[in-house]
Amino acid sequence: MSIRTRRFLNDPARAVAEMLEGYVAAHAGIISLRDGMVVRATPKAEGKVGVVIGNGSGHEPAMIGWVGEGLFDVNVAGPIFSSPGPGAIVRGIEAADRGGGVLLLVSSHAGDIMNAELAIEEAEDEGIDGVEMVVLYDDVASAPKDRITERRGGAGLFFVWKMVGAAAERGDSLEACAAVARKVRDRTRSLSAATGTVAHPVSGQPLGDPEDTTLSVGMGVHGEPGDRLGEDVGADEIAGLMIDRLLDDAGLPSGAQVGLLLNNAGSLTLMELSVLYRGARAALERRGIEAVRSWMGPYATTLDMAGFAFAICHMDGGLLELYDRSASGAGFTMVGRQGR
Amino acid sequence: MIDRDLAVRLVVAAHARVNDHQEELSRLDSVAGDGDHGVNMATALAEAARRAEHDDHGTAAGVMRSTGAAFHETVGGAAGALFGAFFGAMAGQLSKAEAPDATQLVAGMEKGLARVARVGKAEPGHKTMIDALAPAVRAACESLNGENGLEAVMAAAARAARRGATETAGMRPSAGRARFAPDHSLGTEDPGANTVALVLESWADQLRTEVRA
Repeated sequence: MSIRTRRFLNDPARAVAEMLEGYVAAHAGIISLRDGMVVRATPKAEGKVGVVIGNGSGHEPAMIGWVGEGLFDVNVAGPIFSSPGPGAIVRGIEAADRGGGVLLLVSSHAGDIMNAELAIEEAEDEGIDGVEMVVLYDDVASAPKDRITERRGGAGLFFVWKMVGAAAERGDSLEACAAVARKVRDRTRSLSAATGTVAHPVSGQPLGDPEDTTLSVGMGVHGEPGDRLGEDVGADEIAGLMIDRLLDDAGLPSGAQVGLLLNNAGSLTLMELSVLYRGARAALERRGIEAVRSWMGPYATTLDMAGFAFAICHMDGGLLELYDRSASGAGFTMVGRQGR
Repeated sequence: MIDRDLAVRLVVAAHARVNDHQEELSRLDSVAGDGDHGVNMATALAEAARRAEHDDHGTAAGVMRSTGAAFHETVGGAAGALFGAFFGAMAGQLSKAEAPDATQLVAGMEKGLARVARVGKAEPGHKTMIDALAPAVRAACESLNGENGLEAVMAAAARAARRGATETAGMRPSAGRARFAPDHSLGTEDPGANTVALVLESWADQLRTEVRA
């Protein structure tokens, strides 16, 4: 077993910049490129809250595909697997400002938090006010429940972007949008699984051991290792084990309604995804949990990693109404009650 | 005295050294990270050296400030934020003196260490760059108090940084990405601590060469 090191790129050091140029050109009606950042082709109405995120590249369509109506206003894409620096994030905050304040969302990873905090300091020094930052996490494998704020951001943040984007588009205040971000975060749990690893496009180095193809559960989005499963475990068993762990952690009672996400980390086939999704639905039913909304596909990838993540979001307290609002990004669109 | 030209030579020397070791640094990073630390540090220092040589920064503080900005702008991530913070704090300290000398450089390293600790929320023993930087600063202070010159101070700092970096092999990480697999990197040195050691060694070598010239 070997990992794919030959990629269809030019100079790997230019890969992110060339990706942005190509992606934006292919979705010209939805997004455009300004000062190296992905911004909405049609800016949000004046006075509404701008929503911005900076993140490492290599996770596409996160987050370049999540800029658009009802989603992000600006995405500052950093180098592969590395957050952009503070100066770039400050320019993103400025670009997202429509006069109603700016919400800087941060997926909890050491570099993302450091650069976002430095950016907030820099923005204050430059006299930019009305900026709020919310750090988001959902990955149950990364820290125990009693240290939940130490958890890292994973695929479940899909639900945060979707619902915060809807709240901001609706015209909610900065305070209210930040409250939605925290509310969705606190109701969301995710867990990932993968077999094998991928090669970093620039260094050519594998993330972890390239010879190790053991199926592991709970690895991070940068190939941080997880727990290992035996070779004879089928999709239903894996899905059941993962869904049980998510429900136990969330402490959801029978009868609860959840949104269910099945994220393709890169190179899983639709066949595998569908079989896993079927297993997850059965596992939810066994626990008396209703999946009221679903989304299945590549949301936050790790290049071409052979893996996936499940995420659940407890859809109570008006969240369904936010989830169902239309959204239009290059990597995610929703019209009406899709995925019901 | 540490003038603009010496600061440029130090940045150029740091780039050359890290560039020579970039594959080794990336390999260390691939054990519990994403395997790009060497490429990132070499890229940032290449840009820092380019700016140092081509832009007119006027002072050593200007060169260090521009180096910090190069880390923030070219590589980002935790390493970009932390090394950027180190050089930025160093620049702030050097800018306070007309003609900065060893005393200001050591004070700049102390300020850099403090800012790295604040931004990274890490302490000694967490298996980070601090495990090389903290002993280096301590050794530099002691050497300075022994009334040594710049060359000897930096040599002491470099030796302490290397010892610190070597000791990280026996540590379990409790900060940054690597903390999610605490046993995974046991036996492997921290890449960030290694970069600190390489940079300080390059500075010590550069200063020794200049003193002897």
